[in-house]
Amino acid sequence: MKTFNLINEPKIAAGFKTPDNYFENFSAKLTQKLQESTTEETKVIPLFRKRKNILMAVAAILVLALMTPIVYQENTKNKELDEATLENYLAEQTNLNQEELIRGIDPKNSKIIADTKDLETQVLEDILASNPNLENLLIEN
Amino acid sequence: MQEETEFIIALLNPQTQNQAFQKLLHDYQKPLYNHIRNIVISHDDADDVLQNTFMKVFQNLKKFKGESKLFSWMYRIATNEALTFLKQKAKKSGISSVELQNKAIDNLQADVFFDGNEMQIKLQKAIAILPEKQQLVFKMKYFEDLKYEEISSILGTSVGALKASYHHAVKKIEAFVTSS
Repeated sequence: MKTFNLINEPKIAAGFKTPDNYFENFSAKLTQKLQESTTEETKVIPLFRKRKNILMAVAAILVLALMTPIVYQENTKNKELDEATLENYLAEQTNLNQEELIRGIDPKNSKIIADTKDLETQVLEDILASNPNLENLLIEN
Repeated sequence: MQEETEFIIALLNPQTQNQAFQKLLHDYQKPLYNHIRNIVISHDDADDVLQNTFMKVFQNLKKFKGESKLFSWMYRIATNEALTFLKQKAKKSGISSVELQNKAIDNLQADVFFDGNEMQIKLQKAIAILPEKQQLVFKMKYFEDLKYEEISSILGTSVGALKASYHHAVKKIEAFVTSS
């Protein structure tokens, strides 16, 4: 059997051919296709753009949902702070003394008296015994 | 290199784009067609792939950074497009790439755009038994007469490895033709 030697043999062509005027027509065909694609490109709306609004809405809702507890906490803190500020203000800045405050209480509609109803007698006695000054003031009033 | 940079600028400039693209087509359509045809075998498939290749080249010119030559960049796109085309076609037909290639070679005798003889068909059958990379190297060296340095810049393989690959391919083809 004769051994085939590719390199020593005359070169074998691939044997492919093209239709007549293929390359002349290819240029025109491709130019048209490119023009069509550039026109189409301007009309195409990417999928992402369609979803963009939905994604933004979802993101906004998520941000609001996450912000709610923080805002709530912030408001609560502000309220507590206001009360504390008011207390401090009253304690430090007011000219009213303890006697004037007690005089200001209306005995017929006294919150203090109403509250004391709930206190146990023993507790009330303990408070009065440990604070003689307060007892005197109440008697005077 | 300077000339090539200027040519790319001309391709990107709307005022000179048309003329520059016609030159690009004139210079590259025949070698790229031959390169693609050697991979896909059929003329109709080569026509589709060549169009896709030029479309991709045109659309990606802005991204071309000039790290490689325009020649090797375009050949790389053409090679990838041809191989992807074959894989997709094989997948659609529910057969392997090797079966698809053998089928295309069997159809060559009836192909009006093939004027080869029995020996040329035998050579195509011998090439079909090679691994994909060896096929590419053999076709680019033997049919397209590309230099090893050029093939290296296209395939990203060293010249030494390409020489070894071509040598193995030739030996396998010779053995196949001798035995058949």
